[in-house]
Amino acid sequence: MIEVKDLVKTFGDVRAVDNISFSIEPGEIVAFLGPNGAGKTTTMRMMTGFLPPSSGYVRVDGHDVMKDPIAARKKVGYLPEIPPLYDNMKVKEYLVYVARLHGVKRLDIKKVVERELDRCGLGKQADRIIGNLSKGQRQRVGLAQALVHDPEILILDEPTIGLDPLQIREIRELVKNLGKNRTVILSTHILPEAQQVCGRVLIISQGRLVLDSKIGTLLEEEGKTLEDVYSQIMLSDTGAVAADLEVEHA
Amino acid sequence: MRNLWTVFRKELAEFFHRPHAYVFIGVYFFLCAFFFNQALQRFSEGMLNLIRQNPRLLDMINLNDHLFQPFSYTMGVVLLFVVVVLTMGSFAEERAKGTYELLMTAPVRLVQLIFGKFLASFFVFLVALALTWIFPIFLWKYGNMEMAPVWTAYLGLVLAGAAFIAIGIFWSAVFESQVVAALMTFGNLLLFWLVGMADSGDSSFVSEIARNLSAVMHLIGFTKGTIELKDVVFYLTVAGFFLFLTHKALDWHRWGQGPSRKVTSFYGKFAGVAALPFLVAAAAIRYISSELQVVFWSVLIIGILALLIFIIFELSWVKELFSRKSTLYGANTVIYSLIVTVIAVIINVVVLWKPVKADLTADKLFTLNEKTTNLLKGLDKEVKITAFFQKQVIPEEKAGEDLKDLIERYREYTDKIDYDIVDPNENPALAKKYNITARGERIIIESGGNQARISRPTEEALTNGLLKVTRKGGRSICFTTGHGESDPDAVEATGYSEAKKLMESDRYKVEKLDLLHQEKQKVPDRCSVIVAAGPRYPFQKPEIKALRSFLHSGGRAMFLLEPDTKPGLDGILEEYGIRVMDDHVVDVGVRLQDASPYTVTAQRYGKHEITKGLGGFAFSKFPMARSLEKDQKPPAMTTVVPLVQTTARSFGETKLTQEGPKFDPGEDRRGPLSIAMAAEKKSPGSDNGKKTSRVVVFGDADFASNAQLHFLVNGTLFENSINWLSEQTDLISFPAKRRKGSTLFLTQNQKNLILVSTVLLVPLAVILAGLFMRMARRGR
Repeated sequence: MIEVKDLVKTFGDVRAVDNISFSIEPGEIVAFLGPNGAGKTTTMRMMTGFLPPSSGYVRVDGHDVMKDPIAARKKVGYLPEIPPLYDNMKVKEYLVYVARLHGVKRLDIKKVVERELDRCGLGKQADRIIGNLSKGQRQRVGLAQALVHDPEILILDEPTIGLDPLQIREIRELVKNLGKNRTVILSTHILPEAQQVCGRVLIISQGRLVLDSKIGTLLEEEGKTLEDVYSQIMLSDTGAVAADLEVEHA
Repeated sequence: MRNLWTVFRKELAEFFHRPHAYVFIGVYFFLCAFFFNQALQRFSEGMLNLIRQNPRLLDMINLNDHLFQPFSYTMGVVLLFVVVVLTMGSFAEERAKGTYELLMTAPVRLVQLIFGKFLASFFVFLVALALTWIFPIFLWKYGNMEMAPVWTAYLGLVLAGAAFIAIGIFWSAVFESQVVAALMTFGNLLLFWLVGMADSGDSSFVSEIARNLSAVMHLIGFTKGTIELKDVVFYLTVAGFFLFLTHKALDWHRWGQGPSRKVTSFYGKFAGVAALPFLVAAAAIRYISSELQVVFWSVLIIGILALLIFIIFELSWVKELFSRKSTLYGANTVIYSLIVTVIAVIINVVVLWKPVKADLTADKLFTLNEKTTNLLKGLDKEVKITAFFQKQVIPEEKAGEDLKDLIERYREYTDKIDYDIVDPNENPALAKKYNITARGERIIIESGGNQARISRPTEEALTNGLLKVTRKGGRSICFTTGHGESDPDAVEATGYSEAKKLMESDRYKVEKLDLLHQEKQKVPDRCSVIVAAGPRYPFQKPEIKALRSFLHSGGRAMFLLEPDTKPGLDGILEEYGIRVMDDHVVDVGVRLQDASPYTVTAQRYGKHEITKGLGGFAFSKFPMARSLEKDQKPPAMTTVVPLVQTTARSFGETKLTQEGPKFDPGEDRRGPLSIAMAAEKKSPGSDNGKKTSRVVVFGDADFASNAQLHFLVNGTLFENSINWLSEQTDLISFPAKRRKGSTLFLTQNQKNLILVSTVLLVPLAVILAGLFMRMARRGR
């Protein structure tokens, strides 16, 4: 479904992403785990085609995101770290706009938008101006935006950041449900979140992929929790800042 | 296509859901309204002044030239200042807010995005422009204004708007900060405007570049009622070029790091903020006074320097370009952009070479006459035009501008014309060199030592001036020799050296010509006029033949024939219907004291070019003259006009006796008698009167001798005769092209209606619409 091969991104002297390769099969829910600045967002941006890689490639369903961007983008729904919202638009206007951008058929647009409003719990907010929404509502509009064209692949960059515990739980449930019939990749630095929601975890540190494992395998075969593995990696990794480790329970 | 439409619709909705569209439309309209009412006021006052001076002068002014043309130009300048409202947010805001990420991960091409945004801004601009139609409609309703130039002016504004918007969108794509983007757009447009001021009104390369780079100079043609390909192409290439650059800039951001997210450097920020007032001040200084040249240039240069510092400090990607990382892509972009730049420039230059123009004015005011273009296409000598006009760009004093436009139109057909329009206040030495006076002719045309002067910048005057200085053949006045003629080099009383001096001061060459010893016995080409100054002995047969064929091919000759001589020219003069009588004219009507009775003092002149302007105390003196007679029926294609006449109390004495003059009826002719005649004859089969020969005959040669030339109008008569003779008849006349006068008389009520509706009602309606939209969408 997604194939990442020898991906490198440098900004000036900094290698933000350093030779990462992995592939993701349909139906997987994968967590991108790592401290701030590890290269999660950069990797995700390259996977969506927003950033061109310095070398290596990303293929989505066989389409190279740089060489065949339109075909690749059609298959991907993306929620960036900051939800890309227009504060002066109404929620419904905004979703209609995104649906059109994604080439949803004219006749289906109304249906699709209703479906997402419903799914993301925005029914009451449909006619409100986005600028007046709360942070949690904004996050949900962002999610609805990523879903509006019913993509096979969902890429979510820190979907629960800055939300209150209740909202976090809602979003996690939503993601879990979405993962039943599509591929989901979400980045987070909250370990329990990864453990609860995802079946597989990719740990990134200083731009390198340091662990790629099924969560079940970790627990069953090595008898370790994700937390153990994570702190072990971070502490052993020379120069790594482990202080960022967040053991938040929701 | 669907994506483009989607982006366009969304952007348009955003414009109208937010204050942007209302601010732009309202402010643009208000500023235009302000300038419109000002122009209207000025026009009315100008009209009243003319009425007070002389109501007939009202025909000189019209609504198109003196009101709408400058006003529509102002509309373009105003646009320069407010267009940023429509463009500063277009990409800067998306990038600052992160929504750019949405667009760039949606299956939309960058081109669709750029065009969608461009068209949305353009649409809002069109709405604003549509509202301003209220101004020409007022003029059309209350005055009799020609409407075609209004349409072309609006076409020009639409194109200029497209170019300006593209420039704004480009800067918005470069910078993430809207304020910085607005600043850069404004600076860029201002430079685009100011560069036109480097045009110093001549044909130098710098002026040429300045004219063709100026974003608003290209508007002038449109505002006058013409559509020129070069102007259309200029705006389209600017728009296309900047949209292309937008694409490159956005691409670049993706590949490289893009500019730093914040305006970080204090110096850079300071320079950016400082650049603006300097550029504004430069424009203001230029507008207010043309005398503060030094101040203008220094202020302008400081502004540009500040702008450069700002760019260098703020664009980390300028440095980035030459660093290792994005070098490959960066170099590609630069090379690609350079290629496109070169192509854009080439297109514009090609269009300059081959001018294509549609003149939509009713009388084809800005299309050159075919005769002019034929002349220009055949022009093979360098011509230099120097004109002296003040460089005021106020509409009342626009003769200099008109001349420049006219010459530029000429230059579309030839590269032989150079020109320089000089402000006499700035260069008094040059003005003095050319003897420029306040009321005299101010346009000097020079070519190969010839000079012509004209006063008004009209096509007819300029074309004829060109003809005069570039025509082939000499301007030599050839004096025949060998028949006892007066010598143009002789300084004694009977000599003609004074006459020669007079001719030379008129830039003629004077030479002596021995007809008998000419090659093939032909009058040489360099002779434009042959003068026979009192020949006493007959011309030989070959000489007569040479003179005849000279005249038949459009030659010019002056015959000064003393009494009692037989030069044998009767046969030639017969062809012009002039007979030279064998007598001595005596005029007792006018008699100078102490003069011999045979000295004729004349005061009556025929109606002719030569004698035009003589009159009053215009006496001329002819010591010993013979009379001339005109045939009752002049030969075909010939006109003969008596130039100098005696009174009724004169007669032609045929027998000189000791007792003095006495009238013998039956033998002597009775006055009034002619003693000088001018004749013109069109050669058979000549086309357009090109081969028109002219002769002037005087029954006296002494009047132009050194002793008599300075007597009252004697010199003038001689000089005018030479001028008339040497004048070419291939000069062209065509109907004067000028807009018919049109006036606008408004009652106080109408004035108030215009003022209130334009300055108040429309802007108010726009504000209300904006407020309404805000209320409707607020608090949800």
